[in-house]
Amino acid sequence: MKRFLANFRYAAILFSLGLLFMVSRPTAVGQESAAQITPVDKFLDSTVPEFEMRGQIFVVGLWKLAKGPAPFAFGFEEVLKKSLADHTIQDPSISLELKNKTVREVLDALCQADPRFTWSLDGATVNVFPRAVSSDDAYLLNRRLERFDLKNATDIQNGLLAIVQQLPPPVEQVANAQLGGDDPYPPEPWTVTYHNLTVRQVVNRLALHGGPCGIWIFGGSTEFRSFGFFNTYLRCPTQASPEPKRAAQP
Amino acid sequence: VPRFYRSRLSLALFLFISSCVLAQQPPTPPPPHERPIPPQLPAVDQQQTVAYWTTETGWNSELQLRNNALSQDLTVTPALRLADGAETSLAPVTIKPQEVTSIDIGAAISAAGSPNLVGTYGSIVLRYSSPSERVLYAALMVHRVGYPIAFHTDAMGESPDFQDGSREGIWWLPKDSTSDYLILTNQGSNPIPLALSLYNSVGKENKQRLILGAFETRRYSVRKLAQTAGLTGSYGGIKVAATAHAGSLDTLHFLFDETAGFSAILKMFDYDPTTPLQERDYAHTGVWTQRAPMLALSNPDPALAFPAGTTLHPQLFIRNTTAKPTDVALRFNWRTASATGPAPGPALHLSPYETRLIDVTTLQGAGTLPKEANWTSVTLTTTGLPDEIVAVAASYDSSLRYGAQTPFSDQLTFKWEGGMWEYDPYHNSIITAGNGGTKPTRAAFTIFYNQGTQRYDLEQTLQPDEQMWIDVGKLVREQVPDKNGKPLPSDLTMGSYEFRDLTHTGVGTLFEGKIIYDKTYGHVTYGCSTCCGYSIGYVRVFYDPLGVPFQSTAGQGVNAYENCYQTWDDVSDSFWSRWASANTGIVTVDYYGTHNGVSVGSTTSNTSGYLDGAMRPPTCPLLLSNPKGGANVIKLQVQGNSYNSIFVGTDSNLEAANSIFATVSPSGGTFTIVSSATGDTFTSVPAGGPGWVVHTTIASAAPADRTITVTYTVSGQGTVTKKLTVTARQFAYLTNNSPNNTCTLGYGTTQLYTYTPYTHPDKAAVPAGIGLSGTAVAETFNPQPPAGTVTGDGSLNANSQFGDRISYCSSSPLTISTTITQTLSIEGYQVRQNTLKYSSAGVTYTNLGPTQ
Repeated sequence: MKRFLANFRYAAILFSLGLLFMVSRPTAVGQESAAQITPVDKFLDSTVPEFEMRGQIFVVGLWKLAKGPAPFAFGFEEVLKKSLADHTIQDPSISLELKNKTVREVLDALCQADPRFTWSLDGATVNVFPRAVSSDDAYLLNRRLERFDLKNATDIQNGLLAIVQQLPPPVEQVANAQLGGDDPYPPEPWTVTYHNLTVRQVVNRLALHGGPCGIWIFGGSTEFRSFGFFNTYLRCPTQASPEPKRAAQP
Repeated sequence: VPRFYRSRLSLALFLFISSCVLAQQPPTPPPPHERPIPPQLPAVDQQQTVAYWTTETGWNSELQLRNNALSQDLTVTPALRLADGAETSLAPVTIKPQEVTSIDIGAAISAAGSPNLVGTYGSIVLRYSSPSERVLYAALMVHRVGYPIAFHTDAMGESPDFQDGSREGIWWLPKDSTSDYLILTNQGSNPIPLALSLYNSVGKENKQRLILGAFETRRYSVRKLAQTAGLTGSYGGIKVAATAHAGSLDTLHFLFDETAGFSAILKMFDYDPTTPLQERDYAHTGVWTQRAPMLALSNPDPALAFPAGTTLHPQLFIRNTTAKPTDVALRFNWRTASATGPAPGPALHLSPYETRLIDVTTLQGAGTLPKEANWTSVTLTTTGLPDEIVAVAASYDSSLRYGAQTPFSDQLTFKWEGGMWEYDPYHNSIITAGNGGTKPTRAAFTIFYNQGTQRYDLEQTLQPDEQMWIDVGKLVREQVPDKNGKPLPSDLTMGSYEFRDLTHTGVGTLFEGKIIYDKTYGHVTYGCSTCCGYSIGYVRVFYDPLGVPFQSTAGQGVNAYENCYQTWDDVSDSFWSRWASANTGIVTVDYYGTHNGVSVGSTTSNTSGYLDGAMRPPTCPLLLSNPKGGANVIKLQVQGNSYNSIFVGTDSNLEAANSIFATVSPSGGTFTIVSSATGDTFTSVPAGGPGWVVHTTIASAAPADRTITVTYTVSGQGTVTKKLTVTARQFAYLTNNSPNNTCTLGYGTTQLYTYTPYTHPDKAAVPAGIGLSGTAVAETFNPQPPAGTVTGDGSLNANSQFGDRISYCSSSPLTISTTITQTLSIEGYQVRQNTLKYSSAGVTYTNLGPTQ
């Protein structure tokens, strides 16, 4: 019960922050992303009729949850090992069988099943990250950018490069190491300026520029930090269906 | 059969409709219909009557019964009537399908313990329960014990609709020693007022009136009647006229001469003066035509086993049964052991009631017919109405001891069910069937044996007037294989037979004949078959109502109940050209009965046509039918994706591409949907229905080999069907572009590959915009990618393609060196393997296929 109350309090704080963020959106100026931020309660309170995991790791469950029936964007930050040469950190296997729970309840259940992680909400993006780094200001994704300028971006790597170039010292290493996923960025160059955001929040926005259900995963090691970007926009209800479900009748 | 079917009014209406609405014949008929088979008709009480039996001293009677049904047993209860109509039932007998069985009347009387039936005569009534009267063919063979005297008479049905008419025949007394019987039998319970007239050869009449009581059999001697009447000559005419209940009258006239060792039957005919030519013009020649198929010529066939040197005198008796002069034409089709050929015959002008004798011997002597010819068929045509001319053929030597007969008949039909044939050391049977039509036809001949359970099949194409000639003894003796390579058993001695017209169904063109000769006495008797027809009361359109798809077509046809086999046959071709719609604003109908839906609504359509019908057994006149039914236009449009494809797999994201939608009017009906591939299943579409998602795990072997059939039934209005032809595609392989390196972080490579899927069975690229968005693309790796590499599955986009980002791009130098294999699968089908080689420079890529 205590954990529930703590989570509830935490979620309430995040909710308030989300609302504050939405209210304070004019802090982002210039060419704003075309992605629409889904109101928080639109998907967090959506019911998932059935959610089942059988011996799978956290991120697999998160993928599954984000695909629907209430699709959403998320960023997932793995627990980083120190060196690439270190043994792989074994993620615990999770088995869950949930029925008629909300997305929020499923996220809570996942974090309860693998308590290394906690989750927060940034606009319509769910961020899942190691609980251990939540108050580590030196952690890359917690670092804050007073101002972030992006000019003529046509690939998400443009955004990553801009982050490392605009962060104050120390110089950070970032990589885009991924297999799979599409390039959702529209061909038109994108220019945008944000103020007073963490790197996590910036990456959320970089991902959302590719579509309303942008997904990013952060992993590797502390000496080789890499991002992968994916998208479930085809299932994302806030995007107009790219093609009619039903052919026109004669 | 109601008489109105035969009325001239119907004929006139038919001709009028024919001339007005004959649709132009489309180039080819539609493919055979898938037709509903109506339920079997209920059995009802039936009966036929044999005009004569006798157990008088020196005479023996044998009843032969044949079950014509295809699959049902038939139980017949014979009852013997004495001359006064008093009746005694015999034991019932059950006959297997296609079986012929015989009952010795004397033995049956003994078994029944009815001594009052010994030494007398009368008629036989045969009672049975069956959907159709024609399921039974019955004949009585009468033998004079110890003499070459034998003849047969067929059973007849009663026709309550035939009231005013007559039985017409020819009398012939070739020698002073010749005896004869003229039998008059009343099949019914109403006394029949009769006028019995005898004519001499030039038509002089002597008439006497009599009342034939209920069920009564009366026996006369024409010789005595002629003598009493003062008629001279050796031949003339007989007319037995009834002004009421003519359809209950049966007559039989036969000759016998113990001194000469001679017997003959002089066939008599029903004459209904109201019968139109069209009812009996089976070949549509515009003239009434009769045939005698097996007239033995002067030079007898050695197969008849007559003594060497026997010379026959074939002759024809032709009689005008009316009070007006009539013209008659004869022609022949002769046969030797090795050749056949046509020959013209004389043209005759017959005075009223005249009987003319034509000596065929003279024609053969004059070269009209070849001298070496053994047989001929005789074809007689007249411009008059049916049965205004009757004819009898006889061919005997001068002593009358040896000879044969062949009956005249106008009957052509699509099926003949024949009685008993015999083959043993003392008997043989020759059976023939000919084409009486004007176009070639394919004839099938079948011998049934072992109680109808075994069959022997032959087929032959017959030109007009051509006959197939079957010497049953030869088939058995020489073990001639049938069309299936199977011979008859060498010890086979009896069975039944059947002819079928394989070319013409509703109105056939086959005639038939059979003789059985007995070597013991050296005489030949002819046998008969029963023609098969359709029960005109049971001619129905396939679908009533017919559902016609809007702006599309629906085939309609006609089923008719065939009264021998007792099956529902497709007789649609007999109704082609006469289809009509009651409202062409709703439905139009073409030559072949294909209905076209013009607008949604209800109307009716009808057609008409002649079929070989079933009048008074054993006749099968052409009868007019006018089947009709509702024709309702129902809108059913079915549409799948624009690629006419469905995709193999279980991914729920295939739902859109595999969806089929229906648009209907009127609404409120019910659907059924089936696939030509077993195992395909359907679920309702989640939205936008009515529609169904096709779930398949079976790929097409060839393009467009899968048919999805949607059937829509509106209660009371009919059913329409739409077929959607699709290809069930299985993802097979990929092609891809050659992207540039877009890594902008400083070190390494980033390439975005765009893959286009191709599918079996035709290696076609999947087109864009067919609803495959979201279809899962799975990626697996061996070994696993380097640490820090994020992997994820993809999915097809709106263009039915997918992107695959291969990125190893960092803001700091790269250090890893390894090689992995990437495997891509769509819907569980492996469509590509790549080698990915990691180094400090990034990732290089090698395509491992498949490439087709």
